[in-house]
Amino acid sequence: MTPQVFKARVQGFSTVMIALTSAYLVYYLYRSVGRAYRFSLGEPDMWINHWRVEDSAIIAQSTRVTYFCIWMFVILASTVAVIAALHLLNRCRKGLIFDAVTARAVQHVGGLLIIAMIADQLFGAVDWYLLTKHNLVNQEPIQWAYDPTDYKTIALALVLFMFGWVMREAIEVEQTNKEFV
Amino acid sequence: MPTSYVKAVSTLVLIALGVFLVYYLYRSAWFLVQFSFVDHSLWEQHYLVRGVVDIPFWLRLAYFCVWMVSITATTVMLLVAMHFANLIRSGGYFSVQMIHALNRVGVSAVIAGFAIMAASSVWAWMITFQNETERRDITFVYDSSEAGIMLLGAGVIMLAWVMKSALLMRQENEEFV
Repeated sequence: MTPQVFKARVQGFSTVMIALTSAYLVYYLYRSVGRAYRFSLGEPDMWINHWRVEDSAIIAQSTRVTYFCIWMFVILASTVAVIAALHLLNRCRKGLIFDAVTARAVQHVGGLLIIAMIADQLFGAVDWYLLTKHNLVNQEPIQWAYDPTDYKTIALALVLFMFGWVMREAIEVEQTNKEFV
Repeated sequence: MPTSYVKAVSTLVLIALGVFLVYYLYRSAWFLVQFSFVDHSLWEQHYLVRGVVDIPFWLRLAYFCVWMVSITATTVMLLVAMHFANLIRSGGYFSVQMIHALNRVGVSAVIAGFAIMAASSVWAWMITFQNETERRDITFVYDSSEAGIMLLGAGVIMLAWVMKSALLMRQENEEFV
């Protein structure tokens, strides 16, 4: 494979991945923000009719706003991670592959994904508590909710982070050697 | 060779992945065995099941196999991720071998994500297969988390391919010079 063919293929694949990731991001925001807004503020009956909420419960506006803000934080953290991934793909599209900035971008994607998934786990723990906070009888405590998907994503993100780290170190060592010579 | 700091972090990552793998298998595979074969009441008294039903063995086996695909793919993904962390821990430099491991992580992530979405789509259909009323159809289930894992896996595959090709081309050029 000649460098020209390689560059053209990388550009093609990167463009396809950018298109897919952008479509995913738009749909993710549409679904997640829409659901969080409708559930907490837009359609008050959705919360009241939830199967874990007692009929006598009256949901305070402050609880609704807290619930919305908490999930918006998780959604925004995930969004930032996806935007970082788009930035990385765009660097590949431009042919900027073996440099320290790209290696750092790989690390950023991994690191931001880890933050987003930790936030998802943390706020998942208070989800049931907030939902049932105004129940008169059955109130759920703050409790850890196991979600294997979060941990799988963390595992993938850790691999990306470590890969970016090793790549960055290799590039820095190479630059130091060149400068020395 | 990676610095001792990178090695120490990769050791921690290796341990964390190992702990998660054990816990994941304990929770997912063990529950699946219980649900499919050991405790028959779990299926027969499921909230989607209507009336008194007798679940045949072939259906239990099919349900088990459908979910085992995703569990196996996830297990492979975690094992390859552990292999990757071990490569760094044992002093592996940025190499084709490391990029191969990265590629395998991506491939198994895509398979795992796809398998879980497919299993989720047939799950309710299988559970209610013996119902006389209120049977569920096969319905495509979109899960943004699993779709995200598939996309991330595809991104990892692409990154590994780009890095491998670029590394090999550079090595060829250096040998030529």
